[in-house]
Amino acid sequence: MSELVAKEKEVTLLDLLDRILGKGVILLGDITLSVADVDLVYLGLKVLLTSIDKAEQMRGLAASQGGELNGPRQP
Amino acid sequence: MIYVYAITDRPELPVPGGPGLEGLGGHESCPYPLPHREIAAVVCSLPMAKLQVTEANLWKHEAVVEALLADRAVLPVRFGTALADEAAVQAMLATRHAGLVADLHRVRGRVELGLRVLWNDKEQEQDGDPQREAALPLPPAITYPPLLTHSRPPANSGQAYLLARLEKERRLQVRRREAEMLAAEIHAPLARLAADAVREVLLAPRLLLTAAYLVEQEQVAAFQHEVEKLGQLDPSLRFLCTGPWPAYSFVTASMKIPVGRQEDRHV
Amino acid sequence: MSDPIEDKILCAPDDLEAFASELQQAGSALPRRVNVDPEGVEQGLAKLVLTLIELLRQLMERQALRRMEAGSLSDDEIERLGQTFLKLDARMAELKEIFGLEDEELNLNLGPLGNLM
Repeated sequence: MSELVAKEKEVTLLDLLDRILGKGVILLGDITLSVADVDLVYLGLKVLLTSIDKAEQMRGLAASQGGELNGPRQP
Repeated sequence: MIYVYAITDRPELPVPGGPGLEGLGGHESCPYPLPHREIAAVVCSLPMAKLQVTEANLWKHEAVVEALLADRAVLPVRFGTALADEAAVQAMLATRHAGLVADLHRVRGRVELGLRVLWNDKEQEQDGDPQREAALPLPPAITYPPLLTHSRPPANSGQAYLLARLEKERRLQVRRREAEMLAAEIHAPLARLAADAVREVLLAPRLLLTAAYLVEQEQVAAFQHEVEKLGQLDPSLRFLCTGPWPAYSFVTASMKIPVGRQEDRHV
Repeated sequence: MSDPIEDKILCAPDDLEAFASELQQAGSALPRRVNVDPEGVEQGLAKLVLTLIELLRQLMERQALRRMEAGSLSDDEIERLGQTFLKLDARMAELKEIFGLEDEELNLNLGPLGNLM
């Protein structure tokens, strides 16, 4: 019984993804290429998110190192 | 940053709140309307770090948008849209005002229902690599280019490869015509129950039909009933109908070429 | 409204597995996209490049087939073109295997131009 529910959720999620990531009003990234367009935009989103995460990490790191004189060095 | 969930009419209405409707910002940054003339953007303040593409966030976004459907016309905004500040959002609303108003008019009181139909793809069962196909006897029904004889060229030759490709192409064309006809038989009665519809045939070999229908909220049950009826006509077909969704597929910013569109598209 | 938000199925067959695997292949939405990791980004790039190459390859093959049908290619040209496409086909198969990509994933949806694959 729970396997059916899991499959239903998976299928519903796929339908949601199709809509919420690929359709709706598009305010940014109007540079949609006619080839593999959604891939490119989400490639951009993924890269952006990765670099934002890294930037936040590095900023957080710099702040903590600046405050501590003898704090341990982080890689 | 200012994260955007949807564009709506009725800018004077507050955004529904409550458990599950806090959006991506959590309860310290709930969604609120940012009005511009007779429309509004439903937004929240969001630090960039919180804008992550996770399943939980997708459903949080969707929950906010769907709650709006109860009392206003809603244009869902694609997930992950964040502008610099409120002024940027206002500017966007001003620039795209006419198109947004037209879209809101089109979707007012309506929801989107999705349909996918699977069929048995005989083509896939026959499909092999061209070299193996090159060893098969020639089908009689195809007329061959004048320069090729009726006996098979050697199996690993360039001629054999192209010949096999030609046969495959022709089978695919026949298959596509069959698919178009069958898809039309399914799509037509459903499109009649909808204010608008978009559809595509054979997005994948087994995916006979992928369609979205813009249906009056009160008509959803009748539409569902019609899908169930169609589903029983041919046991070799499998129907999946989902919804109701906000009208993602009926927003002009990301339209596929629709079938049976009555009104003019806005530029 | 007691239904959870994920409760969206209005009509479905008993066997949902076929739909689940089909939707994943159709390329219109892949859970993989939700995964933010460097390998995923690389493979996304590879997929884009290979899709473009695949598009060109298919377009060129179709050109050749049309000329072959029209009778405007000599036996020799047919043979040479065929050999070239044979090798291209094999090379693409290798590349797809290296990047772990299936044929269906390189599918293109070019809107009004239709499904060229």
